[in-house]
Amino acid sequence: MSLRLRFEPRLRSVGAGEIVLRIAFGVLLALAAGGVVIAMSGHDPVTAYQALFRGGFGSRMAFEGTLNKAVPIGLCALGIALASRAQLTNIGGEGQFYFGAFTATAIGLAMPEATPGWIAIPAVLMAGIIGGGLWALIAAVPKALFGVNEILSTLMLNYICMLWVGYLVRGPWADPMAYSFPYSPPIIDNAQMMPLVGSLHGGLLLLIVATIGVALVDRGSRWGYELRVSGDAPEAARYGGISASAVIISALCFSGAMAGLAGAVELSTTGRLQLGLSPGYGFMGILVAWLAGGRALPILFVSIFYAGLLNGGFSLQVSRVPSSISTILQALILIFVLAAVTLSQYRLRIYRSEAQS
Amino acid sequence: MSIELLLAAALVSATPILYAALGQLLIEKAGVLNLSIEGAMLVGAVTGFVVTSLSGSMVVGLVAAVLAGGVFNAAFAFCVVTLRLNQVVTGLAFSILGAGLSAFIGQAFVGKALPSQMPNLDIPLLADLPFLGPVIFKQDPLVLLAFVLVGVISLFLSRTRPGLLLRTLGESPQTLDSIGIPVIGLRYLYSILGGGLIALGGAYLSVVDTPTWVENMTAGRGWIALAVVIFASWRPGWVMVGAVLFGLVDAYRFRAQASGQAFIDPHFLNMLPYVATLVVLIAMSRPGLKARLRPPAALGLPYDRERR
Repeated sequence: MSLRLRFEPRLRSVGAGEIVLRIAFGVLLALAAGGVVIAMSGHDPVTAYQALFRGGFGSRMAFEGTLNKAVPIGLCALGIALASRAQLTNIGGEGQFYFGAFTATAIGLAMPEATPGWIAIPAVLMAGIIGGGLWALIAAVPKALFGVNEILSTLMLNYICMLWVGYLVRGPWADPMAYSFPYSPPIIDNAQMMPLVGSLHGGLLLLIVATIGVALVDRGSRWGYELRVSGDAPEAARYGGISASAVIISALCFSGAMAGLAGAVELSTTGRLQLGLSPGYGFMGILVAWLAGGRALPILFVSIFYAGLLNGGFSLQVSRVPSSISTILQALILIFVLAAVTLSQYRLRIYRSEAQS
Repeated sequence: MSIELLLAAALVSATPILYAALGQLLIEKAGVLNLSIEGAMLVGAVTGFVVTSLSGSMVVGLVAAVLAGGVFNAAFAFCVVTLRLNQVVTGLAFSILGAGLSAFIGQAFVGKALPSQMPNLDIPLLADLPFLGPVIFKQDPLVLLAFVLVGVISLFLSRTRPGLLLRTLGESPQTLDSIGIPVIGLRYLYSILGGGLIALGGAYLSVVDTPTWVENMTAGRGWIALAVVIFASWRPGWVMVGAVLFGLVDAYRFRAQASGQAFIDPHFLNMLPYVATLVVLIAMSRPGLKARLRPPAALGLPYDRERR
């Protein structure tokens, strides 16, 4: 007799409650696997996880830092999730982030010093939105015209943009007062977003507004409907008079605009253009969008969770655990949760069959 | 600077890219979109360096790196081929995993030196050839091996039955399945082989070229290799051209920086591989060229027998 395992598709879709359970299960498994790695390196997993948690959520200051980091991750993720409605995979968030930060810097440096804040800050944020959208347009137009694979083109555009910013901050825009640090000069004071409460800045409000906006687009807008139809049933969309080019361009540019806004927020809160502006927010956005199943409200929470993991990673070093543990943990959580969520669409069946004689 | 020296340096710069790109080519020909390449390269680099410095033997170190790359990609294949997880997200996650694991494993070895260096070849007659001698035949053996591999893989794909099966695997896996060839098993095989080659590219950097271990030392070369494969439209001969072009730019940049006489800012030189790939990507989507140069049709699609 032999046993055979098979994954079979489930006939009904799984409820939201069960998805949450499976995500939690995935995180637990990842923590267990990460614990083994920590233990093998001769450290105590419990101490390490305590330090990780304390660094991410353990104090008011830590939590504020986590919320601030959740803003760029969440903004990128929202844009990426919306584009994925139309079956478009935008992995160019990082480039769009930096191009948005670049255009925002250009405006922030060019405005006269006396520009009032109520003009200067929206101008910088708007510049970021437009810049990010324009950078995505470079991938969107060839996709709409010739069907150029946007996964590969947006990936290439990331590195082109990062090198462009590197050129600016070491060349034409290098601040002579910053010694040899590759920074641009600071943008005007009035264009810099100041902390509102404690160290918390206004970006969180933007993220909440954007979350509600994306949720509304999904719920009942014509555009949201067009995105989904052309993603799920391109033939039906064409028959119904939905322009595929318009969907591709609007979805990818919106996606880029959100990443550009994230870049402008980070620029406006730190004041200078530099290559350290993003530790990979554009890439994290992809991962968060997937972990959250692409839905707006879950993205808000998952980005806060992810930001906590990132923030907590810095405090690991204080407890003498290598901070690469936090990187490994990020990857493990992703893989395990992805597996748990994907496998929830299937059920495992065990077949017993008599051996052939 | 002499042209021979520049070319010789270019081939050394091209070698890690070439190994990684050939590995990537095998995986993508099999229909798997492998965005974990940077991670596998780092795993190879750290394994190669650590094992070489512990065992004292470069050969042992390089073999260990190839094995580690195979294991790493087998895990990736388990996720995307068996469990059918999303290839883009899983690839990025494995890329992060490789970066984290390599930093973790290598932290005790940062800044250490290897006991010996890879000796250069000195093939009796060939090394005395006027131009080709110093450019090709006085390099370390791994440079030569990379270029030999280009020919081997090219012939394998175009002239052998397993090569034909590999091409079909990325174009139309259901066809293979219908004649009783195991699609899943073959995807595992090429993921593992490709992972070994990618890791060898990383190990070449840490064991032969630099030779040292620094966190994140591949510095985006995995992504360049990925770009080179697209630039080459999945053809081994053009992969070699792409890698050598990258090597030339890299060697020129290094010398121009050292001598302080650069005509073009190095940032723009570094952009070249990505810009060229983008242009090729757009150019090959034009209707006339599309049939010959497009990506494998099943690239990135998990194979599910019940949903074909």
